[in-house]
Amino acid sequence: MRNSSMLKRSDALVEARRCLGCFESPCTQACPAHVDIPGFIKRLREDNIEGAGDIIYVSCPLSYVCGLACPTPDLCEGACTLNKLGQTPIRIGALQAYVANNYEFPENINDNGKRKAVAVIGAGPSGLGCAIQLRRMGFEVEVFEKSNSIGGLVDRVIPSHRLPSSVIIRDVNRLKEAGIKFHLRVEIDEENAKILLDDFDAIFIGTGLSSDKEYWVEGMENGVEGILSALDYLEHARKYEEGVADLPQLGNQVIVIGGGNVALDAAILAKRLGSEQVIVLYRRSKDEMPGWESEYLEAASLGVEFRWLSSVNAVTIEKKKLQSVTVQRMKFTESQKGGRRWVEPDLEVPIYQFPCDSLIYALGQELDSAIADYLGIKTLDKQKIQVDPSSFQTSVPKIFAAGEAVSGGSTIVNSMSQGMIAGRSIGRWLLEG
Amino acid sequence: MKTINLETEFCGVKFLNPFILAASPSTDSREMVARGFNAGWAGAVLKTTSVESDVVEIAYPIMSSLYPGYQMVGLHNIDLISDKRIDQIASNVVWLKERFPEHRVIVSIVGNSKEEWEYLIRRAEEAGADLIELSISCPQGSMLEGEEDVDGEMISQDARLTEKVTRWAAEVAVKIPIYVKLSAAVTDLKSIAQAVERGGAGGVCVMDSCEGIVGVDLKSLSPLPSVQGASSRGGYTGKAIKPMALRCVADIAEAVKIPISGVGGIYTWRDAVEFLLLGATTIQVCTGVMHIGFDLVDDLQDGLKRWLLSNHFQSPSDIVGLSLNHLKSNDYLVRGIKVRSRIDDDLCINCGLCYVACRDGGHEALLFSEDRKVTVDDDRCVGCGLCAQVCPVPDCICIQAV
Repeated sequence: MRNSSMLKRSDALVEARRCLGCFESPCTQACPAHVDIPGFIKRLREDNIEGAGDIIYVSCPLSYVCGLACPTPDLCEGACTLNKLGQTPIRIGALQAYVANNYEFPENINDNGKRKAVAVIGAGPSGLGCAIQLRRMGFEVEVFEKSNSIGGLVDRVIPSHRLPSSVIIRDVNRLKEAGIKFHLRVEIDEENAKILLDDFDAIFIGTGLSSDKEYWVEGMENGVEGILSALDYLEHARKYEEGVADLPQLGNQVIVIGGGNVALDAAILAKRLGSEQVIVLYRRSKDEMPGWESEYLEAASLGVEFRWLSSVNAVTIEKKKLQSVTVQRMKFTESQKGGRRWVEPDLEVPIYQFPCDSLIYALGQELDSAIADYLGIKTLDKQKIQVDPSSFQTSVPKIFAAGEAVSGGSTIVNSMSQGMIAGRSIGRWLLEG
Repeated sequence: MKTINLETEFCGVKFLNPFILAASPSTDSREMVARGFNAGWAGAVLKTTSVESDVVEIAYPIMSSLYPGYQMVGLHNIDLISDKRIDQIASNVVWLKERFPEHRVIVSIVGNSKEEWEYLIRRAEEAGADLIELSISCPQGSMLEGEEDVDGEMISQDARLTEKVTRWAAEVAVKIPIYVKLSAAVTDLKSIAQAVERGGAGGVCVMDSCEGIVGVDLKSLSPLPSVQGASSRGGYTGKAIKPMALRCVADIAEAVKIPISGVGGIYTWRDAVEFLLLGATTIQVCTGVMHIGFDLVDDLQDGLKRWLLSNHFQSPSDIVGLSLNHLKSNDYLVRGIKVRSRIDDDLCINCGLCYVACRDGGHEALLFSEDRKVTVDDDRCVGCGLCAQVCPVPDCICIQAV
């Protein structure tokens, strides 16, 4: 389970003292944002919390969010040298969140003498990373977001008990204070795309993977009670946990399809919010599951059940109400695809019916390629935006892109870091041009 | 396990074992001393006292430390002598001796004049104390009235005064021995110890706390511990002063024949063995007990016994001063033997701390590879040993002859 609780000052100081302060530390190397972790921990334990905050925020403008939401066991904490001594690693995420929560210094904005402005599309991690990087270099930045909140999927689907809105708001407020202008509920249609192209010196696309993959199996109908996408469910559940929506109604028998973090989060929340039986069906085995080990363990510890090598190949619906799913057993084949073992239906095992009230599907998200079309940039099969890998420049010179829209599904910290690198690239391009 | 007798003698007085509670708050209440004796301490120096007319009022708080908590390296106090006067201390001696006839009760005294010293000695003797400790080294004050042309600010910084006070005490103490507690803060400790010997003391105890200022409160700008916005110089004790205390014990062991009670930063049986090896015959502990309690003595006794047994010694007195033969002037150390750092790759956790230390404080003799492996460049390494000191893994780095 990840660090969801805020450390007390005493806890933080005791924990900080455990850090060895390794040379060219493995934790920093494992951090996609390359936060100087031993550096900030040293300042923290010397009671220089503002100095510690300077260190984390310069590399990670979403330090509070990342401190709580990063998969630290897979990143910095997994690389901590103390693991080699058979000790628990330093609670780096929790320490970073502690520093972030106590850091009050504003961003340091330089004036580059040029009056150039950049439009950032999407207020998710990559957009925010790019925006602050450009602000730090002295450019005007305006962010256009289609939803009514800043943070992208971060503020929509991460369960509130793990990442409360107050945490996101604190990091976002620093960005607002730095002078980044936000325009919410702005959809980039053809007309708006033209305006952006005319009004701004450069454009950054950080829209991520914003549309749900369609789910359709035998027996499926439109508008069925009890069948919903995991993103919709998580968004509803987050609002419920934040006290701004009613409890999402699922029933007692819940099937979750998928093996990523979104599927695991949905299963965790369904269980936490009272469903009796929650079963995750995944077409491969646990080893292939893309979700984090920490999420799996949280789900398993709550009593979520897992059926590996299981796929739903039909649903039974009566009077627009889900009755059951038909489960097909899968088996591994010899062939591999994309580095993963491929599976096919195991026809020797009979299919079976599984009665259920709800079916939550989390089959991943895909690129909303319409924006690319309006802006006239090239995509790779409408799956990803095509960029130069070092400059993040698209086929149109003044347009750049990074994050999940370019690299596919990722973590907050990865997308944010990519956005920052792209921001530097945009800045250089603008200063040279 | 074969058992071993830890009985020891100091100033001709027998102790059940070498471990004695030093004068401190731990020995200021008879009930606490009784608990200490029950825990296994062979003796206790009651917190220093003075004549009835000397009123002591302590300004609290008195404690501070360097790195508070488990990692504390040094404890600091602006304590004074006991606020109990000699009459109360004498009654505590009677109370303790009735209950613990086998344990040694030592009275620590400080006076301002010959009359006071003599009076205090008589009272301690009458009460049935086993030994008397002359406290002439406490940084929080010990000086004689009316003396002129004196070195330093406490009696033990002046050889003449030290000898004079020792002689007064030795001449009055007819039934029990006296010994003198000394400080490291002197120009020539050997000459002070010789003054003690000439004065007729049965023994010497070293070292008292170091006068220091442990830190400053950065809000009030008051040194620590802050008493309503101000503090005084205080006595620094504990682990951090052990190296100085060991040096003092060795200095005195080389200078005089009277026995030494070693004190200063003893926490473990290893510390105790080291003090014995450098010339102490008994061990006094104050800070270790104030930090982690009376039960410390159990581990001290157990570790000392096992070490003596495994090294084929019969008693603590067998090892007193054995390391003095190995203590030489630097000029006499052997030169020219090639030694180098050796790193155990199986134990190494690749933290790189040795690399940084050698790079910036050694001889730039370690190499740090892409895959974080540290190797020794034998051409540059001189075997200084810094790397082994900063390594967080026990036994990972050693210095070997090559």
